[in-house]
Amino acid sequence: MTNLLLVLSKDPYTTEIPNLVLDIGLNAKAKGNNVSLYLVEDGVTAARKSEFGNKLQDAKKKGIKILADDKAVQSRGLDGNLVDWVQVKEIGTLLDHIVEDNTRVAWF
Amino acid sequence: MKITHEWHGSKVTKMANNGYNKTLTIVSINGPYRDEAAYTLIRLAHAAKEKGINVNFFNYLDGTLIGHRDQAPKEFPVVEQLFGTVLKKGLKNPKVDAIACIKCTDARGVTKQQTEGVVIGGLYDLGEWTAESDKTILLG
Repeated sequence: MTNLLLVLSKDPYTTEIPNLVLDIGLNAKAKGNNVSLYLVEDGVTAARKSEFGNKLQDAKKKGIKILADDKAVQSRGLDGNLVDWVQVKEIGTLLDHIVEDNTRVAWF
Repeated sequence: MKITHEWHGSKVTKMANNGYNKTLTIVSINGPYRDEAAYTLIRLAHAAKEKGINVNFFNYLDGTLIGHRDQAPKEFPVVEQLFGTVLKKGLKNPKVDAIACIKCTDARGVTKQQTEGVVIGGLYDLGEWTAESDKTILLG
């Protein structure tokens, strides 16, 4: 079993990339892998209470771990505006996950 | 000193600080000021320094503009200065090295304008770094 870390830096309103990333994550999860989605830069807007936030909620119910970068959240004034269950973490947490031996990383 | 934390239900133990000898290679393909990627890679590098992780920067395509000297944005922090500071901090263990792709710098006319600490190299260097590093990520 592989740990897959997907890092999303794009917002869900400009390109199809966030939908693609979510599809990759859901497929990887369905095949038995551990999947984490880490939102950075404009990617944190995906976790707003919105239609895409609901998609993330469904992904979380299927076992995908979802985290967001604290500085990206704060700089956009999104404190309190994200779905409640997203884990807001500092960038060292992302780095820890990136360098784990059994984790594959894809940055979008 | 050892740190143990939980990652997907399993306990992971690793050495902290200078006992942690992993190396991360970061490939950048975008220039500064278009988005936050340059700032993100600098934040990653500072976090890596704190955790004792070696960092290799491979600046490729427009990423070679990150280390361009004499940047003067009116409203944003100067990426070249932030990047240069990371390189200076990385002179000792854990190390931070930076290579800019020569074909990319030549094409953009910035080969001789790279900030102190950036070495001009090529894709063969990236191949070696990828082979030697624990992880290689591409920010694009």
